[in-house]
Amino acid sequence: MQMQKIIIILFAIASVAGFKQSVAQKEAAKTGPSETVMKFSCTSTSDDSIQLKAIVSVKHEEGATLLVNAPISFSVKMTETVQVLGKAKTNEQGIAFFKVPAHNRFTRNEVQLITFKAAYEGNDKFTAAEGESALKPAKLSVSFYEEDSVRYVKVEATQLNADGKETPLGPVDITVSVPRMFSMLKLASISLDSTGIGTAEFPTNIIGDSLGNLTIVALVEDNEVYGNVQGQATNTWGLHKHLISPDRPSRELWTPIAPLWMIITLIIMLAGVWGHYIYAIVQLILINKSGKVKAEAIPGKNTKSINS
Amino acid sequence: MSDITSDNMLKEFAPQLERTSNLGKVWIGFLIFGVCMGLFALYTQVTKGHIVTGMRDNVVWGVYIVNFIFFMGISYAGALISGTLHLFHAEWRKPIIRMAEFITVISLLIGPLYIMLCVGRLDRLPNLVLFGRIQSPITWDVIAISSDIFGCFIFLYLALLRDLSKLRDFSELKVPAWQKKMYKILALGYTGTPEQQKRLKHATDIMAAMVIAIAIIVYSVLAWIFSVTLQPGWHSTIFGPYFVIAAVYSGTGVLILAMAVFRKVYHLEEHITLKHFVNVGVIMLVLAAFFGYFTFSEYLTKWYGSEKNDEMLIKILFKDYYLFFIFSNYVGVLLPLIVVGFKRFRSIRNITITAVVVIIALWMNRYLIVVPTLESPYLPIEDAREAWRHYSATWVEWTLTAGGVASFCLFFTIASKFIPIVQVSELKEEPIEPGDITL
Amino acid sequence: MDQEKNQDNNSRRKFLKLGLLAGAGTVATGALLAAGKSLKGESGEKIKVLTTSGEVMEVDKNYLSLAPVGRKESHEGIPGRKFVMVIDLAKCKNARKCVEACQKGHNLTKGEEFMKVYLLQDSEKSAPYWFPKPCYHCDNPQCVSVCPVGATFKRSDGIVLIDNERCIGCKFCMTGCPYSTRIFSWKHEDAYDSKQPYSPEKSVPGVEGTVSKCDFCPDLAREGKLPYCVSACPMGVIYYGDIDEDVVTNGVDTYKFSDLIRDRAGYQYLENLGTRPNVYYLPPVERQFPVERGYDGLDEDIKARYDNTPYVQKLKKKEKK
Repeated sequence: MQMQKIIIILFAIASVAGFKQSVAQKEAAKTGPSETVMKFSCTSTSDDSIQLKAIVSVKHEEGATLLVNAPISFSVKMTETVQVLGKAKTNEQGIAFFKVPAHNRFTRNEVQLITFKAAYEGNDKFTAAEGESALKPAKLSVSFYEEDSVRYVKVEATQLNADGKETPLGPVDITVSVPRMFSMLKLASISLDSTGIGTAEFPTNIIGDSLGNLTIVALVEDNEVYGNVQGQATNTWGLHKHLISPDRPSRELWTPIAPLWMIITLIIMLAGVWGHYIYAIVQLILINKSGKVKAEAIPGKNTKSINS
Repeated sequence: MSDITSDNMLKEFAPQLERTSNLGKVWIGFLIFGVCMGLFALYTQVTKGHIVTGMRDNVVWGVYIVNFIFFMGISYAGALISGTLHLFHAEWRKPIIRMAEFITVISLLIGPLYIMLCVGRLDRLPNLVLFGRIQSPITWDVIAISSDIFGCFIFLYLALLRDLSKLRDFSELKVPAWQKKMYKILALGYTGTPEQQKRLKHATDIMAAMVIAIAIIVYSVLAWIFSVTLQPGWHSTIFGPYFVIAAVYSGTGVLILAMAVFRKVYHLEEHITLKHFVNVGVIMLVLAAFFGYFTFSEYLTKWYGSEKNDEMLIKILFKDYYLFFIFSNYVGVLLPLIVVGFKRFRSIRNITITAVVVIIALWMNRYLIVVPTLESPYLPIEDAREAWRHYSATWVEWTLTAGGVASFCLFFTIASKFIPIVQVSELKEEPIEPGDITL
Repeated sequence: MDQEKNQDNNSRRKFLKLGLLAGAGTVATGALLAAGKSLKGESGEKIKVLTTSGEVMEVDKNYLSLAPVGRKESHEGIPGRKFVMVIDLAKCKNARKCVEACQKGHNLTKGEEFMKVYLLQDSEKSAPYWFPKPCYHCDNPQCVSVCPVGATFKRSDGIVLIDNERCIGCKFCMTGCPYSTRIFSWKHEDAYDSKQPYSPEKSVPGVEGTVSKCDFCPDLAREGKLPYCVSACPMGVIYYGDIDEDVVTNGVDTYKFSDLIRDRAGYQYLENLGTRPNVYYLPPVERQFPVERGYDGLDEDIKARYDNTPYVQKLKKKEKK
C-alpha cells in the first residue's frame, strides 16, 4: 500500500510537471550528481525581522527544475566563525524561508553589514550549493493621510545601527505597490528625502476586496547597503470588488438549468405528441378487448365471414 | 364485397411469404455479408479509435452525419406520403402505402445508428439521459427521434392490423406454425366489427396527422443542430424548412426506387402501374421545385451578401466541389422537372432513373452542407497535415455506409417475407363519411 | 524539531500572505523535483496552506504538489475571481514557447495544441501578424450551450472547462465553437495512462474519444501561478489576471487591465459573433519584431502549416524570382 502510494505520487509529480525524472537519474549515473543552483536573498520586513530566502533549483538539459524538500541550513558570519542559525526545507516552490530578528548582536563588517549564508549540502544525486548575502537592517513604515480630499501614501524609512538605535534612512528609491492575484501592481515610485520620508498621491481607482480593503507594500529592492526592505500597511481606500456570483444568470442557454420557455415548450410538445400516441394505443387496446369478447361470446365462429 | 378481392390478393401474395427463391437467398446472404463488413468496420473503429475515420479536428463530422441526415430524410417517405395520402383519401395509394411505411420505420431505425458512430464514447451514451440538457439540440433530437420511431411504429401497426387479421384467417397460407401464431397475436382479435373499424379509423387518422407533425419536428430539429451554430453556411434561418423539403424529396425518390424494385421482384406489374409512378413522380416534381427554390434562395443570399466567410464557402463549393455542386443542385433539381414535367418522358424506367439520380444528388447535397462548411472555419485552417485540412472518408466510413444500406435492404427484404408488400385488405373497408377527417 | 515545523509553517503562510512577494510565482514555473532521500510516500502529516482564493487546503507534507481539486469543485470555480487574458500582438514573434509549455504542462502530444499560433492577414493589403489563440472562455459560450450532457460548463470564475469523464464525444461543441478552439482525442495516447487523479481543472490525464481544449490553468491559479503559456513566453506577450481586480500580468510587468485596453485599443476577436470572449488582443502596432522573424526559425513541419497563407505564398513567389 505504502509502495503504491509512493508510485502514485512519483507518477503524479513526474507527469504534473512533465519532468522526466530519468533525466536527473541518467545524469547522475553518467556524470555524477546534478548541478544545483541556489538563489539567496535577505529582506528586512516591517515586523522587525529579517527574512532569509533560498531558492534551490537543479540544472539539466531542459533548463532548471526547482528542488523540493531540500534541507537548507542558514547561518551568519561572525568575526571568525560562522554561527548556524537553523534549518528549513524547501517547499513546493523550491523555496526555504528563515526568519531572524532585526535587533541582534550579529557581527557587522566595517560598513555595518551583516552577512548571512545559506547552504544545501547535497547528496548523491545533487551537488551542494550555497549563497551569501549581506545587508544592514532597515525598516519601512507605510501610513496614509488625506489632505484637501486628496489621498496620500507616506513612507518612512529607518535603519537599525549597530548600537541598536534607529536613524532615518538616507535617500533611496522605493516602490509602492499592491499585491494582486499573480503579481504586484505598482502604484507609485517614491524617492525618499534625506529625512527618510516620502509621499505619493494614492490612486482612486484601485480595486480592493469586497469591502474595499487594500494591502499596500513599500519595497526597496537590491539596495547595496540595505538589500531588500519591505514594509506594509492596510487601508480601506480600495473600490469594492464587484463579485459576479450574486447576479450570475441562472437560466441561460449555457447554464445547467434551461430557460423557462424552453421547458414549457418541450412539455407542451411532448404532451401533445404522446397524448395522441396514447389515444391511438387506447384504441388498439379497446379493439383487442372487443375482439376477445366476441371470440368468447361466439365460440368456434368462423371470423372469416365477418366482413361481409 | 371486399372478401373476394382481398382473398385473391392474399393468394397472390402468399408465395412471397411462403418461400424464398434461390436468388432471394443469395440476395439475403449478400446483404448479411454487407452488414457483417459494417460490423467489422465498427469493431475497427471502436478498438482503434476514431483515428481510422477521415474525420479530424476541423471536419469533425463526415460521411456518418451525412448518412444520418440521409436516412432520416428517406424516413419521410412513409411519414409524409402515406400520412398525407391517407388524410386525403387518395385511392391510388393502396399498392404503395405499405412500402412507404416500411421505408419510414426501417430508415428511422438505421439513421440514428449513424449519429452514434460519430460519438467518441459509445459507452457513455446513457449520459444523454442521465445528464441531458434541454438547451442542446442533440437532446431535442434524442427526444424527437425516439418519439418519431414510436409514432411511426404505431402508425405502421395500425395500417397492418387488418392485413394481419387477414393473414391470421387465411387458412391456406403455408407458413410455419410460429409465424401463424405471431399473426394471431399481432392481429389483436381484430375481426372488423363496425366498432373496431371505427376505432381503427380514428386511431389511424390521428396517427397519420401526428406522424406528419412529428416528422416535421424531427427534421427541423435535425436542421437546427446545424443552424444554431455560428458556422458559415449552417447559420441559416431557412434550414428547418429546407431540410424538411429535402427530406420528403429524397423520401419520394427512395419510394419510387422501392416501387420499381418490388414491382420487378414480386411481379406486381398489375398493381403498381405507370399511374403510380407518375403520381409519385408528380409529387417528386413539386418537391424538386421547392427544393431548388430553397437551395437557390440559400446560396443566392450568401453569395450576394458576400460576408467574408460565406464568400469563402461559396468559393470552395464552386472550386473544390464544383462537380458535386452541379450534380446535386442542378441535375438533382432539373432532371425530375424535365422527366416528369414532359409527358413524353414519363416512363417507368425514366422515372426510376430520375429517382436514383435524385437519391444520389440529395446524399451529395447533405455532404455539401456538412463538409465544406467545416473545411472553411472562421479562423483559417493552418495545419501541415493534409488530413486536417481536407476531409476524405476512409474505408471504415464507406464500409459502414455500405453496411447501413445493406441493413436497410435486409430489413426491407425480411419485412416483405412476413407481411405482404402491398396492402391486401381493401382500403374502402371502413365506412367513410364525407369530411370525416379527424386531425 | 517542533520549532522547525512551526518555522516551516510560519514561513509558508508568510510567503503566501505577502502576495507572492517579488514575483516568486513567476519563478516557480518549472517542474517539481523530489530531493532523492526525502520522498518517503505520505507522511500522514498534513500541512495547512492558504490558497490564493483564501481557502485553507490540507496537503500532505510529502505530497509535493497541491492535490487537484475534485470534479465537484471543478464545476464551481474559484470564488470571487473572473479570469481574463490579454495578448499583445505587437510583441509576438511566434517563438512557440507558449505552445510547447502548454503541451508539456498538459501532457499533450506534438499534434495536440491547446494554444495555436496563426499567421493572420486581415485583407490583401494589410500586414500579416502572428496570432496566438487560446480558448476565449466566452461569457456566452456556444460550446456550453450545445453540449447535450453538461460535460463542458462555465464556472463562476468565467472559465469554461470540460469534464472528460462525462463527455460522450459527440463533437457538437467543436462545431459550436466559431474559433476552432477544441481538439478531439482521436486515438489512445500513452499519456492517457497516467495514474494521477483526473481533474477537469488540469485536463490531465486525457481521455480517448473526448474533447479537450485550453483550460486557462485554474489548477495553477489556485497556487497563485500563471498559466503555462504566460510564464513560458519570452516576450511577455500574454497577460493574465483577474478582471474584477482590473489587473493583468505577464509575470514581469503588471498593468491595470482597463488602462491597457484603453491605451492600446484592445479588442476581442470576432466579438460580433456575440460570444463575449474573455481574451483581448492588443493590435500589432509599433511591433517589436518584423513578421518574418517568426517564420524563419521554425521547424519545417511547422513552417508547412503556413504555406497556404497569402504572406508565405508571396514570399515563395519572390524567392522564385
